[in-house]
Amino acid sequence: MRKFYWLSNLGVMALYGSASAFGWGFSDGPREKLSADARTSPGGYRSYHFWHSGFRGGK
Amino acid sequence: MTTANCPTCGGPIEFKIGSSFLVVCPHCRSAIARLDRDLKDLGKVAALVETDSPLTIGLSGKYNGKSFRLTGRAQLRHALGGVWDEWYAAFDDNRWGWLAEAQGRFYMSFEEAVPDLPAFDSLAVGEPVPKLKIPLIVSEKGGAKYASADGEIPYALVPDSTSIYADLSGEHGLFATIDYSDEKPVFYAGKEVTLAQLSLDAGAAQAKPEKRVAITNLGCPNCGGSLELRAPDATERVGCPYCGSLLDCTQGKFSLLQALKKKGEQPLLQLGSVAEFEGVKQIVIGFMKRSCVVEGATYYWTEYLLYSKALGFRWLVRSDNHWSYVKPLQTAQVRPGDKFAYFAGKTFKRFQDAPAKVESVLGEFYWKVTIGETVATSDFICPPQMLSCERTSYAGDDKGHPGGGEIAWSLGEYISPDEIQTKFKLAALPSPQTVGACQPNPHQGWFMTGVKGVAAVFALTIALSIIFPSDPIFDQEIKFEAQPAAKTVSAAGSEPAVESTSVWVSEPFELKAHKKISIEAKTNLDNSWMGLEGALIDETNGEVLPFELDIEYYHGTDSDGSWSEGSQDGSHYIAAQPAGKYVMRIEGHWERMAQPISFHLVAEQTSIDPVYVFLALFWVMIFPAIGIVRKFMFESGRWSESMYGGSSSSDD
Repeated sequence: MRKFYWLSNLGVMALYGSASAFGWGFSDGPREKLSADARTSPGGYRSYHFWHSGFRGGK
Repeated sequence: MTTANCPTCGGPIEFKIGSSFLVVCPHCRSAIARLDRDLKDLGKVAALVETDSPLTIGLSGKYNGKSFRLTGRAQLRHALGGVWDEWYAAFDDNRWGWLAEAQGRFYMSFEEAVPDLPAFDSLAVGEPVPKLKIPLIVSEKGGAKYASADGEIPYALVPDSTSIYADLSGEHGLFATIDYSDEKPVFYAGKEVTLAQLSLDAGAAQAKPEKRVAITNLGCPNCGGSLELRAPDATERVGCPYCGSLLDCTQGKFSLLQALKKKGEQPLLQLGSVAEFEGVKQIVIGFMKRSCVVEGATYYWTEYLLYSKALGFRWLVRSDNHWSYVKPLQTAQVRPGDKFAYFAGKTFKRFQDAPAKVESVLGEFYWKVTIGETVATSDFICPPQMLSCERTSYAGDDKGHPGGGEIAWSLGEYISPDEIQTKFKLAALPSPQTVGACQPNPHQGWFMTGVKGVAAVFALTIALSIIFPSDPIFDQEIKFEAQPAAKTVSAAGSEPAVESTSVWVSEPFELKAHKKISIEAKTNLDNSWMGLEGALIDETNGEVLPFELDIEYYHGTDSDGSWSEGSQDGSHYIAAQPAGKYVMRIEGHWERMAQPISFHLVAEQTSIDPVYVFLALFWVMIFPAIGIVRKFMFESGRWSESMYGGSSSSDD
């Protein structure tokens, strides 16, 4: 039992170490494409109009 | 050397040692004492019962650098049966040593002048002896009869007289006897010794002819069954394996003591079977069933008596199909208390106190065992070991024996049924269904195992944070202005009348590959909430990774006292993104939008994700947590068998 425990611990540590070293994480969902208007217009990122017409983020 | 003629038979006798007081005439077996002017016959002594002793009169050796020679020997019969030998060692420096031999163990002692020895009646078995400079415990007190003698003896041994004594035990093998046979008690002190410590003349010892009492293959006086004795010189009682009768075995003769109507429990280990313990082959010579009554319930167990010439007697005890190997201890090796007993640096917890009664016997026993014989026992446990204490007491008689008693400590070591099965080459043994009193807890040690697992997780976390340090992205104080009610977010699908101003956009920043992004918001919310809609925008291709960060913190007081829920801070981790230039957009909503709100936003690239730390900790702790629960369930099962049930050990 303890042998299995320590072997499984080694596996978990290896997974934890790898996830930390390579930045693996749970998915935040797919990347969305932002409309060209929002990207090119001055203040487009800030503008509710441009932001929410080209990309609807948030809730 | 002084030579003379025996005053009884006229045969020549020799006093080879100038300080010897008595010699047993080799011709007529009279005990001849050397008085000032003449010799006196103190009476005839019986012939010695030959034993397997490695000692013999005339044997020489060295003890503590001093040479000695064994000149005489006496055999004393214990009030409860059993015979032990006393050898008399004449040392070159004119001292006499008393070398006692009992059950394969040897004790060398010397007379010492100790004033004001306590009276015999004031001594209590198991209690320390008052007035002595060295702490000594009374292990036994009683009387023994001089049954036989031979050779030269340093005192006036009167045949058939009774020696009244108290045996004392001290730490580090210290052994002492107070002899109360004369008006003035005499103190003898010494130690338990091994044959190697006596540096015996090897040639003489080996040359000693093998003598055994020739009573093997005698018939049982009740059923006629053939009985073979395996320790004939020590055997006092025999339980006939054929009819179950209890036989007395004294001086080579059997006599029927008790014919039983039915045979008792049969042994799992056959009498005569051999197994190795302590590196010595030992033979099963006796089997006994005992019982005790605790809170109205009768519990039974069986004991097997093992014998070897090298070790003397040992026991194998079987209780509820659990086995333990038991060996005797010196009384002073154990320090008893009310709840605990201490031995060899270990603490043993009191487990059971009960009178143990003999139910049936088979085979040979070295004391005058009787069916129904009862002794007071106490057990203390420190798995896998058990300390057992047996107290015996007996009344005096009109033959000069004083009342007496004995305390005997023994140490049991748990042995698995599988090991017993292997040692005795048995097909199968019944498996235990309960937890044994001194059975080792198989779930012991999970706590420390868990601690090591947790330490490993933290060590790895520290190592990772050193190898892959955090890289700051920004550390920004953000303030969102108050929003008029009309500026709140409109219904889905419709465009709001006025653009929201509760948006913050970071300066462009560079992200490295293979590192997570940590976003932490620190607010001073008070009974309120705040929602942040975030977006990580890849400037090179316009791809957006949205995320949310909701923070709420409420607190108050009710009939149960003060309460709080949520936190003023919140964080979010984004998996590693491709390296490149990014911008972060934060759009805020909060409960009281008519009022401005400010918060602190910190973003950094990091290798440590608290969720992963938590998951790793959960994994390394789940097994120990189950193990600890099972450990306590095991201990609960153990202590449910104890009269002190309800408590359990916690020395994990």
